[in-house]
Amino acid sequence: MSARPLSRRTTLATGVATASAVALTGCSRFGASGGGTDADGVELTVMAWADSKQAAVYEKAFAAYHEANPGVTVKLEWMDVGSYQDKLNTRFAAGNPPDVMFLVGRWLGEYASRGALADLATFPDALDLTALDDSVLASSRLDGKLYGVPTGTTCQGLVYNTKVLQDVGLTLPDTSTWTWQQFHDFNVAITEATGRATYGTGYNIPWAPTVSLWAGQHGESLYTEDGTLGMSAQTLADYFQMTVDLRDAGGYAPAGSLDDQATTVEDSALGKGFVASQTIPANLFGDYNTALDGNLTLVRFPGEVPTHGYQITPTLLWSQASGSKHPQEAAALIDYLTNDPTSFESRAALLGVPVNPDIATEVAATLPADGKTFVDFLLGLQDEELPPYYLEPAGAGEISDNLVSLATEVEFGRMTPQQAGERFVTEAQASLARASS
Amino acid sequence: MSTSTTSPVAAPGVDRPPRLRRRSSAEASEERAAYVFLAPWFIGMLFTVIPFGVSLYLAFTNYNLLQSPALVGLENFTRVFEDPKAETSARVTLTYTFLSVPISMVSALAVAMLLNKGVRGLKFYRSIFYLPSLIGASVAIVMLWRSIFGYGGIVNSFLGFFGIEGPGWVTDPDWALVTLVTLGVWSFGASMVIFLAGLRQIPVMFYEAASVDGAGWWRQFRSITVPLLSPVIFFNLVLGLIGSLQTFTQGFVFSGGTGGPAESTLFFNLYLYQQGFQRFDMGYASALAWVMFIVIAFFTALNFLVSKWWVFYDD
Repeated sequence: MSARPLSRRTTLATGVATASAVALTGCSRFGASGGGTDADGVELTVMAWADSKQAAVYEKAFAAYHEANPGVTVKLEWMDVGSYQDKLNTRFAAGNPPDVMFLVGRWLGEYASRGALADLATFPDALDLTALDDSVLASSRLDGKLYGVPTGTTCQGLVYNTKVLQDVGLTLPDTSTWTWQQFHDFNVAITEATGRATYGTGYNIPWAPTVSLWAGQHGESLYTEDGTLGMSAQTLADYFQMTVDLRDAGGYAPAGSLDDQATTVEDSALGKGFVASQTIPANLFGDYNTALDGNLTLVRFPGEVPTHGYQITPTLLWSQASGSKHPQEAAALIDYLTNDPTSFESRAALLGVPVNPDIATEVAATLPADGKTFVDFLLGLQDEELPPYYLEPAGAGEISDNLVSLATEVEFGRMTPQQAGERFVTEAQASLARASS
Repeated sequence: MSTSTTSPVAAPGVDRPPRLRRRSSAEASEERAAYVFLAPWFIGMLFTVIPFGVSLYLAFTNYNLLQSPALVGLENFTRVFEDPKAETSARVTLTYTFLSVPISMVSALAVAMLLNKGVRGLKFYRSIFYLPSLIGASVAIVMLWRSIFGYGGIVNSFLGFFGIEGPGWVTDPDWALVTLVTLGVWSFGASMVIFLAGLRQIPVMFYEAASVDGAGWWRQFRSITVPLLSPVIFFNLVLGLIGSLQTFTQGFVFSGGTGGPAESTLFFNLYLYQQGFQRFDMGYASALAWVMFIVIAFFTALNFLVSKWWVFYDD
């Protein structure tokens, strides 16, 4: 599934041919400060997970970069998220890592603690971080080193298919203040009104952002500032109990009916009209809404205000391999992806609200309707008091896998919510201890 | 070595090889040809032996793929026996093996015997039945299986026709492995072809003589087919056991690499892969691989040992 690779020879030849042009025009942005882009024939590899549409968007941004910096060619390798980490790890193990890559917070600790990532604060000439708020960067900083720059910021989102609701004459309650009880009743009402043709909800129960949100509403957090587990067995058990009650009442799709391997929105339970609501990363609202013919509405999770538990988190991170052969150029590329409005022309807010505030303002002004819905949703949260987001510690990857297993055990009644909650805490502590040893 | 064979104090009774006559040039060139044909195998061996050695070394180290390995002694091996997930994955693998090997062998033998009845178009049927085993472990087929057995798939639609509400064959942890067993059984073609070849070796006159003596179908099967086919049964059993203990692709594709739902398809080989490539614990993964190697060697040895009592060699 990798993107049409350019042959190395072709790109080298192109680089050499254009080298003189670069020298003549002196158009390199960082030429004066000795940064990367006065380079010749440099090929940077970027690894990202994407579908073909998203990949095309990134390709456009990289093509624009090549146009402005003819000495640097960016080769995008994209694949679906399922095979991404395996491929990345294989490349690291083979000593041939990509120069720049997507990472998520819960992996960062595992790569950084093993020396795989470059400290991005060490390329001040190529990568300008002055415009970014320090709280944004705090979530990718470990032991005083910066291992990633957020591609943007996002938050948890809940979407409802308004067409389903209209067809059965239901209207959403006031979602800015609704409670979990109202959420429960409304979903049960959908299932009953549609005669079980569409279930009220089928959201991804063990998805870490939702679990974090629940923890935040109960005065806890999934992880603490010093990288320990911050969620108690009881809080998780209560969360699972809520889902069991919802399912038993018919508001949630029956056990075993949801397949988590759908790779496109169209193939998902939401896309097929099997469920009326789903949780998503809010930045993907546009993708989802397009797939559902504009029938989606983005609403807040229920929750007992004032602590609604929402967190504004990095969507993904741009990280750089410590083994990159062109560290300056790679850092300059991350700078382009962070601080240069050109790079946002094609992708807008696809990877979240830009972290550079000036760019964010600029991008927000030109957004299509769906993108604006997302940005407004996120900005609406910003005015409220939010629980802080901490970097997920090494071991978080295994913990989130265990959470998926435990949710399945509860789904099929093989474990009570209480047992699953206790098992989660035991296993999570073991994972954290092992990862830090 | 040559010094000992030519030694004058060679033990009495040891046959000295007859003195070689001068080889003809034809023989010499034949020998060279043999080595040429063997060369790919020798080269291939290098690609097996080297990783073999490296993995044995890594099994005694802590190696995270990104930094150099550090020796830790037997730690990885003791961890295998304390790791609840390793136990889960061993249980999954053994359950799968003990279900799928007997079922697929019986199916393969049954189909082979039917085809051996002298059906018209034998070659055609043989190919048709063989086909699944070529593609059974392929990604596309496992995906196909997923959608056939999915919650709203063909199987459940069929059951719904009779008013039966089928489970999530793929998503329910109590059924997912069973679904994989059916996939394994469906690709019985390879052993069927071998059975068929074995069956055709049995002289028809044995059956004719038995019928004359009044032996029924079952009696003929027990007293002629099984004993004469026993070396082939043994061969298929050994290969089947080794193959299914190493199952990987089906579990990987079926669960998207997670071993889910709820670890019900977490094959030992898949767990090993997860440790090595997802958890950066290549040292532990190597130890798991060696434990698996020893277990497979043990089952195979056991098989050979027991075979003395039931496998009948004609010669």
